[in-house]
Amino acid sequence: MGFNYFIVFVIVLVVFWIILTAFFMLRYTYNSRRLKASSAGMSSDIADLQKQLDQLTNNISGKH
Amino acid sequence: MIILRFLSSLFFWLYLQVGFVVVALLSYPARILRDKGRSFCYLTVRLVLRFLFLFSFFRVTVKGGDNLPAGGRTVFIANKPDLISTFALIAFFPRHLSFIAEARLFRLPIIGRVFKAIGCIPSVAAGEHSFAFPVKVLNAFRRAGNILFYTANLRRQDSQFTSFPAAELQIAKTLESTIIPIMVKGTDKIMPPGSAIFAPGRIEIIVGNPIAATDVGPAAKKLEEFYGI
Repeated sequence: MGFNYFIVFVIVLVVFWIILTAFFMLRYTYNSRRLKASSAGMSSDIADLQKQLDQLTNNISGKH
Repeated sequence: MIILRFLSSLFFWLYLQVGFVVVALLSYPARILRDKGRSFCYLTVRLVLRFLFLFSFFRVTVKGGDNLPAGGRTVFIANKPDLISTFALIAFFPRHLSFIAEARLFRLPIIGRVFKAIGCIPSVAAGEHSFAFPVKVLNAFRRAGNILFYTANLRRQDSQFTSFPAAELQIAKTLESTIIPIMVKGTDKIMPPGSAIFAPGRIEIIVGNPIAATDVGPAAKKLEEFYGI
């Protein structure tokens, strides 16, 4: 009877290990995708800011 | 298809964990045999990785294997220091390679043990002096007859690259060895940076012609031609 409990324990441990690996695998992939998306957004924001700054500079230089 | 990719990647990581633990455990008794123990560990890792590649969706081909010299000292220079290219080189390159890896990897619990067991050498940061590094390099030459550098500068060949890093060439010249460039292609598609789920694909290991390291300048030019910089 005790042996059966041991087998159940091992199976639960292996399933837990597989789930943990899958979780970390997905988390790594998902997190880096989110980071990429956010950095892509940031770069476009910076590009917009750069454009605005250029326009501003042009305006100022136009005034002089 | 995405489920299949997910399941095969899951198998990859689970198998890798078990493989690393097995090799780490084997490395303790193998230490008694010193150099023979190192090559035993390297062959075990090679066997483990060959099985892994057998059950995964990517296939590896080696081109230009005839360029490898039968004996003598060799400095290998390879591009792309990523996980899959390293595994492909260990599993399918027809020589026992002595890798130079980042020092922080050697401090990791099980992975560091495996790195030491297969005869990897911890790298030295720029501007840092180490007595152990040249001794370890010479030991690797004595043991396996070769050493492999990953050219970190080749990673950013698109933007800031100016000329070929001279340190590797200087080492090759001092040791009177030939340089053989290696190009690993196709790993970007299989495992894009920041993804733990693999895509099916082909990996090509291209071995270049041997380059004499007597003069650093011409050797650097030949290497730049090979890598298409």
